Amino acid sequence: MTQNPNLVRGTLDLLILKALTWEPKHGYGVGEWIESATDNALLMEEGTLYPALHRLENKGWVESEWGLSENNRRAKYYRLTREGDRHLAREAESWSRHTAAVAKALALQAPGR
Amino acid sequence: MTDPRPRRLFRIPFRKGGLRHEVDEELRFHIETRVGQLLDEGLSEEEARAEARRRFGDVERIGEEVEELTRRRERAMRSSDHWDDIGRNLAFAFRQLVRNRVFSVVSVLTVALAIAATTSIYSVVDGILLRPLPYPESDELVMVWADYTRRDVVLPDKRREWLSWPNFSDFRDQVGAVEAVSAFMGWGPTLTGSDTNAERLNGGIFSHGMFSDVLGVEPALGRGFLPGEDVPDGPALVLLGHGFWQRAFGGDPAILDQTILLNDQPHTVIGVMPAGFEPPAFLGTDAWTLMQFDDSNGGGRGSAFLRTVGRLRDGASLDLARAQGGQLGSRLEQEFPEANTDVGYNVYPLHFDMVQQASSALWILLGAVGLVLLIACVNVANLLLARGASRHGELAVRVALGASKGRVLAQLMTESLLLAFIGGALGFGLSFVGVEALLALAPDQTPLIEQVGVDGRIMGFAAAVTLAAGVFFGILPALRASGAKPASALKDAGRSGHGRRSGRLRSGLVVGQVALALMLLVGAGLLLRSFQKLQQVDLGFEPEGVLSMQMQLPPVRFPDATTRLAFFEQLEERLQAIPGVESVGSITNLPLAGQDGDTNFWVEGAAPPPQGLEPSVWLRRVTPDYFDAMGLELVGGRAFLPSDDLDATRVIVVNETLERDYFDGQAIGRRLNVNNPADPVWREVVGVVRDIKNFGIRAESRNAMYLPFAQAPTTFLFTTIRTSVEPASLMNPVRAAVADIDAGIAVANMRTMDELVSASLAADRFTASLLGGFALVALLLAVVGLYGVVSYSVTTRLPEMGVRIALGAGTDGIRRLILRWALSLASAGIAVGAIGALGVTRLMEGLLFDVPTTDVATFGVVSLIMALAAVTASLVPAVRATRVDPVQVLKSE
Repeated sequence: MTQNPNLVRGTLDLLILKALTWEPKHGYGVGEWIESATDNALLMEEGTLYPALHRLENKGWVESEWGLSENNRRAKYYRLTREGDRHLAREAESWSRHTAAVAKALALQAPGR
Repeated sequence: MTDPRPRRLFRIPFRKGGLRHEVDEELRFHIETRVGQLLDEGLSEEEARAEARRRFGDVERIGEEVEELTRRRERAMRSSDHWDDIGRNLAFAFRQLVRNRVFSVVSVLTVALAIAATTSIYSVVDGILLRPLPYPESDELVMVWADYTRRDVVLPDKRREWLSWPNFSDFRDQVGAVEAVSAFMGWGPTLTGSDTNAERLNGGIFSHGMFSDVLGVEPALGRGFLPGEDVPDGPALVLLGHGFWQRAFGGDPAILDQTILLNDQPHTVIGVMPAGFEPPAFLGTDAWTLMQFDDSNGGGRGSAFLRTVGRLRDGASLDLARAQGGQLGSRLEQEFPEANTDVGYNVYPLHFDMVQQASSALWILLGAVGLVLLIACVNVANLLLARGASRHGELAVRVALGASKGRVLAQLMTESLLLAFIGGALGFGLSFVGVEALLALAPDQTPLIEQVGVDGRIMGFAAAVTLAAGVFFGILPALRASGAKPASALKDAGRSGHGRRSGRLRSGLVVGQVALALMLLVGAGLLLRSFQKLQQVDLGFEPEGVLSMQMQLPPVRFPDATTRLAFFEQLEERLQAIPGVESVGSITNLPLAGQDGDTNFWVEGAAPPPQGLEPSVWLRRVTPDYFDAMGLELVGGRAFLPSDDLDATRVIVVNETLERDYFDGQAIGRRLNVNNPADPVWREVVGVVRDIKNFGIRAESRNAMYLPFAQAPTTFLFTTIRTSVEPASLMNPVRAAVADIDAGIAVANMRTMDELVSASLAADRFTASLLGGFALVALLLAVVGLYGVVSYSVTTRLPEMGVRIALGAGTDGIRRLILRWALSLASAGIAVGAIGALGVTRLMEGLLFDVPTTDVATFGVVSLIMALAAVTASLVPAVRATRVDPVQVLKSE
C-alpha cells in the first residue's frame, strides 16, 4: 500500500481535530480513536501524530495541558479550541465535497467498456 | 485599576533541558502505554518493546521535530507577552489621560506649543546655518576679500573690502590652493523690446568660471560662457535664470541663440540654468553676463569694485589658501606700494561669510526657545508630581499586589511619553504654521532663507526633542511615585499629608523655572532697550513723507552728459507737477540702501598724503533739490543751484565730519581734489551738510561729500520725492509720469524712505520681537508653575491653616505667611536667574546697541516684574487659605 504524504498530512490533521471533539485526549488516545474510527484503514507510524499535534497547537487549534492518565501516569492532554472547532467544521465540509466529487468522477464508465 | 486581563498563572518553564524532558516524557508515555497493551495481548516483554518502537517510528527524529515546534511556540508567546505589556501600558496610560482631562489638555498644549516654537526656530537655524550650500562639495567654496585692517581708515568692515581687477587677477593666477576663482559685480539691466513695460532685472556680471568651475553647476539648456569670450569687446552674451526664462519667455527653448535687448543693447541668449538652481543671493537670479576685462580696461590697483568667490583645490585647506594669499599680498605691497601698502587678502568660507551676520542672533533665539521648552517641561513635571501625589494610594496598592518597582516605573514613563508624543505630534503640525510665520517676519535680506522648510530632518529633530522632553519631565515624578512605600501609603490613604519631600522637590523646580524665565526676560529686556535706542537714533535726514525709486538709463541712448542731464531735469520737472509733491531731488545712491565703493580725496594746500594712503570718502552726486527733498539740513554755505553745471566753477558740498577733520571746521571756500591724482581737478566747497547715517543706523559717521549731478552725470539715479500726502499714494502717478517721458526706462525699487529705514532695522526687530515673545511665554509659564505649587501647598496645608485660625491667627497673618513663602521662592529664582543672566547676556554683546550687557536698569525692572508676577500668582491661593473654616477642617482630620 502506498502512502501519499500530502493526503495523509491534511487527513491526519482533520482526524486529530475530529478525535478531540468528544473530549480532551492524550496522543495515544487520539491514535487509538483514529485506528478504530477508520477500521485500521490508514496505516501510519504512530509517532507522526506528535509533530502533527504540536503543529496544530502552534496554529492555536488545540491547546495542551498536563494531566493524569487512566493508569495514573503523567500525560499531556490536548483539547480542541474554539478556533480549532471552527476550522474542523470548515475543512470537513470541503473534504466531503472534494471526496464526493472525486468519487462521482471515478464512478463514471467509459462508453463501450 | 490594575491590569485589565488576568496574568497567565502558570507558564511552562523555559529551559533547554526542561523542554527536551517534557517532549521525551510525552513520547515515552505513548510507547509505554503501547507496550502495556501489547503485553496484555500476550507478547513477551522483549517482543512488545520492539513492536511498540516499530509502530512508533524514529523516536529520535520525531522528538527533535516536536522540540523545535515547542520552542517556536514558546518564543512567539514570549514576544507577544512583551508587546502585550507595552500595549497594556499604553492603553492604560491613554485611559489615565482621558480620565484626567484638564491635566492632560493643559500638559499636551504646553508641550505642543513649546515643541512647535522650538521646532520652528530650529528649522530656520537648520536651513540657514546647518544645511550645506546647495552646490557640489560646497565646503570648498570661499570668498576672497581685500584686507584693510592695517590701514587707519574708517570702513564698514575692514576685513571684507572689495578687490581691484589687477589684485583679483594676480590672486587668480598665483594662489595655487584655489582651483578656480571668479569675480563678480551687481548687474541690473533693463529689459526692453517685449510687449510689456520695461523691466529691470536682478542679475550679475562675473568673470569666467563662476558657474562651471566655482559653483559647479552647468546650464540645463544651451551652454555656459566659453574661454576666450571674456575679452574686451567680446560678444554680448547672456545666460538666463530658470524662473526669469519661464516668466519672460514662457519657458520657450527657441529663445536660445536669439538676441534680447538689455540696456538697449542686443545680447545673445546662450543658455538657461536649471530649475532649482539658487545662485548665492549676491549674484542675482534673473540673468548673468560675462565680465570682459583685461589689464587694458580693468582699472588700476587702487580702484576696487570686485567681490570674489573661489573653490579650494581638492585637499587644500583654508589655512593654505590664506597663507598663499598672505605671501602674494606682501609681494604686491613691495611691488606696488602706491596702491597696495597695508593691503592684504582675506579668505573666508563662503557659507560662513553669507550667514555670519545672522548667525549669532539665530543661535541666541534657538537657545532662548530651548529655555522656553525647559520651563514648559518643568511645568509639566510639576503637574505630574502633583498628580503622582494624588495617585499615591493607587500606586501603593499595585505595589502591594506584587507589581515590581520597574513595572510601576515603566507604566508611569509610558504615560509621560504618551503625553509627550501627543504634544509633540501636535507641536510638529503647528511648526508648519510657525515656520510660515517666521519666514513672513524674517528680514528680506536674510541669507539662505529659501533653504528653510519643514522636512524629514526637522521631523527627526522634533521627535528627538519630544523624546528628551518626555523623559525629562517624566523621570523625576515617575521615580518619586514608584518609590511609594505600600505600608505608609496605605496607612494614610485618603489623606494627603505625605507631601513633604515632594513639596520640596516641586519648590526647587519652581525656583529653577523662575530663574530660567528671568534670564529670558533679561535678554529680551536688553534687546528691547537696544531696539528702542536704535529707533531714537537721529538719522540726520527726515524719512517721513518721502517716496524713492531707482532708474537706470541705457547708455546706448544716453551716451553723454547732455542727454542724461536732459532726462533727469525733465523727470524732476514732471514729478514736481504732480499734485501732492513738495520737492524732488535725486542722488546716485540712497542712504541705508547698501554699500558701494569709496573714493580718495585730498585737500588743497595740505601736506599731500603718502601715495596710496589718501583718505577715503563716500561720494554721491546729487541734483540741486536733493538736500531739500530729503530734509538734510545745511549747516553752512549753500546747496547746489541749477547753475552749477559743466560751464560753471566745479563745486562740492561736504559733511560735518569731513569739515571738522580736514578743514579745522572752516571748509567754505577751500578746495579739494577727488580721485584724480595725475591731473587734479580742484573743487570749491560751497556748502556743509549734517552727518547722516549712510551705512546703517549702527554705523559711525564717516567722511562724505556731494558733487552736483550736472557736473558729473551718470546713467543711474535714485529719485526722492517729498510729498504732502501719503507717499505710497503717489506711486502710480509717478510711474505714469516716467512712462510718459520714456516707456523704455524701468522704475525699480519704489519704496517710501520709512520702509527703507524700517528695513534697515528688520533684523533687530525680528530678534527683539521673537525674544520678547519667548520671554513673555516664559514669564507666563513660570507664573503658572508658581501658582500651581503655592496653590497645591495651600491645599495640603489647609489643616494647619485651620489650626492656626482656630488658635487666633488673623487673616492678614495667614495671607502674609503664604505670600512671604511665594515671594521667597521667587526671590531665590530671581537671584539665581540674575547670576545666570550675567553669564549668558555676554553672548549678546554683538546684538546690542548702546546698552551694556549688564544694564542695571534692565536687570532691576525685570526682577521687579518677576516679583510682582509671583505675588499676583500667589494671591488667589493666599486668599483661599484665609477662608478656611477651622471647625470643618478639624472635623475632617
